[in-house]
Amino acid sequence: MFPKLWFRQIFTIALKDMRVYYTKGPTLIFGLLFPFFFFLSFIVGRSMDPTSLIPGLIAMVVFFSATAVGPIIFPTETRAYTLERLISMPVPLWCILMGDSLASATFCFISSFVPLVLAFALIELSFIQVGLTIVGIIIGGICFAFFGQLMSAPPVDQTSTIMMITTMVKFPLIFISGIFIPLAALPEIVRFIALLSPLTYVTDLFWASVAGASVFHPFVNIAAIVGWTVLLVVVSFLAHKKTLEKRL
Amino acid sequence: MVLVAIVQDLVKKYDDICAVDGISLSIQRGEIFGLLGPNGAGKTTTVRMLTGVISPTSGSISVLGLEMPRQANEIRYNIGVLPETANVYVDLTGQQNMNLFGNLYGLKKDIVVKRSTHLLKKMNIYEAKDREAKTYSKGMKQRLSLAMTLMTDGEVLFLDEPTSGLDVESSQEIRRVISEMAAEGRTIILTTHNMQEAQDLCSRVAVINKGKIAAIDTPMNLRRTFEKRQSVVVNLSEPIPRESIQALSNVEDVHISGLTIRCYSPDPGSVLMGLVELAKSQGIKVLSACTESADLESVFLELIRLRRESA
Repeated sequence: MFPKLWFRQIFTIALKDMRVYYTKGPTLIFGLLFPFFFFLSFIVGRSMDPTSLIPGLIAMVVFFSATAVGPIIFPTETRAYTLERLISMPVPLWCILMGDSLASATFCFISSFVPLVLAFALIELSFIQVGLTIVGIIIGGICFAFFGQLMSAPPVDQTSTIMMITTMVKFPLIFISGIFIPLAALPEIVRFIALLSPLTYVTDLFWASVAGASVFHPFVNIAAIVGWTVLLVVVSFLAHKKTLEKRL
Repeated sequence: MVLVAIVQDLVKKYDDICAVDGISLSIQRGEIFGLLGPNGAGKTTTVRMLTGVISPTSGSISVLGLEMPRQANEIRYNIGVLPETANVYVDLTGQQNMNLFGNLYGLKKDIVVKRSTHLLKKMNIYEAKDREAKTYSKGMKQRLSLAMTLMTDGEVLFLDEPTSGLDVESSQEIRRVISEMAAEGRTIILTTHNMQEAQDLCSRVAVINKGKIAAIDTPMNLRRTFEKRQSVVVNLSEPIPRESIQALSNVEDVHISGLTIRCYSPDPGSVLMGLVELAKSQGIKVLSACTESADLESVFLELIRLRRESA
């Protein structure tokens, strides 16, 4: 009975999040406008080959959109006291976190459709390339959904506080993870730091799928992203479990 | 006598603050048990521990024969919780809020539809079910919140200040529903800071303040303590000796602060008349006069005093 009920609870929470949070200002600003203008500022005035632009664009959309919804849920629900309502029901905390992350990842999948279509239109991608890109979007979206979830663990009730924290973490990652400058072209010390970022492996996977030129083999990238996801799931759960009472 | 909740030496500490300090109580099946106390008394913290939302620092809780918080999930399937604030999802419609709860409790879809329709009608908000809850008045939100609580058909209901901040009509509506639920045989644990509400609804009441229970008694017996702590406050142009005031009939206690006199009495009207007469006989002007009903803080202190005396 329980696994079936847990799935239902996870989907119910995800559906609630989609209805409530997809159209909120911070979601649209940090999830859609930020990657768009970021990318625009990078390409304007430069004549660049689409093949070298698309991997970074897809990675950035995946990263920003997957981390846009999760961080606003917990502070908003803390402030509105709906979180207390949820945790007074027979819904395990991990189901709440899974549901929130599912909503974040789904937002990412929807948003990533645009650069994916763009890639398909500008570059002649093979079936395998498209498939690998979709795999990258799915596992990258799930990984960053939990990354966003972890960012929302501090027990505050103001979305702006969490957005400040996430921005402070997200922006440096953008610059060291090979989005604008390919990993191979980064200075050695930065490249070493880049290995500690999950975004590096997602970006490198898109370089492999779109341009066919990556630092790591796609399987290495997939394994690294899965590893990061498992780590983020565990750390996010422990962090939220620790801070939950302080939210009430 | 079947007990649905047993609490032993419950303590909750936040760093060096003791929010709940050794509470013990037992609640019988089918009764409306009130937790009465002023704001910050520890009522909500107690309810949060009873419902497993927060863990106690020490002590034991048993609800429906199961141990909280170890068996919290099993317990939660059989209880309904209405937290202090009307916390509905304002971006969802009334119906979507009801569906959300039904689905999270794992109810079958036809039961969700049937039960939500029945409850929304019972709360008089069925006509507004397709409107976003942000368009509801505070009273409507609270009624929706209560309807969501009842989706579980829980055997035990924890209602945390269900009428707080509501207008008279909405309060009466909610009290009517609480009475109906009790008549259906449910056990209700109700927190309130309103003595009248406790008297109207509860079969037994625990008076709580600063995390401690001063007394557990019937509302009628507690009412007597409340009545004793009603007071008359007068401001005079000149002082009157304490002895003459204490000699007035029905005066239980006198506090004098400068030219302000406060007399505690179960019959403040007659004491006020007596004070006015006394002042008049001594050629003293009464600058202002009013009667005040008992505040929970003073009742709590009175109960502590009575308990010490009886000990």
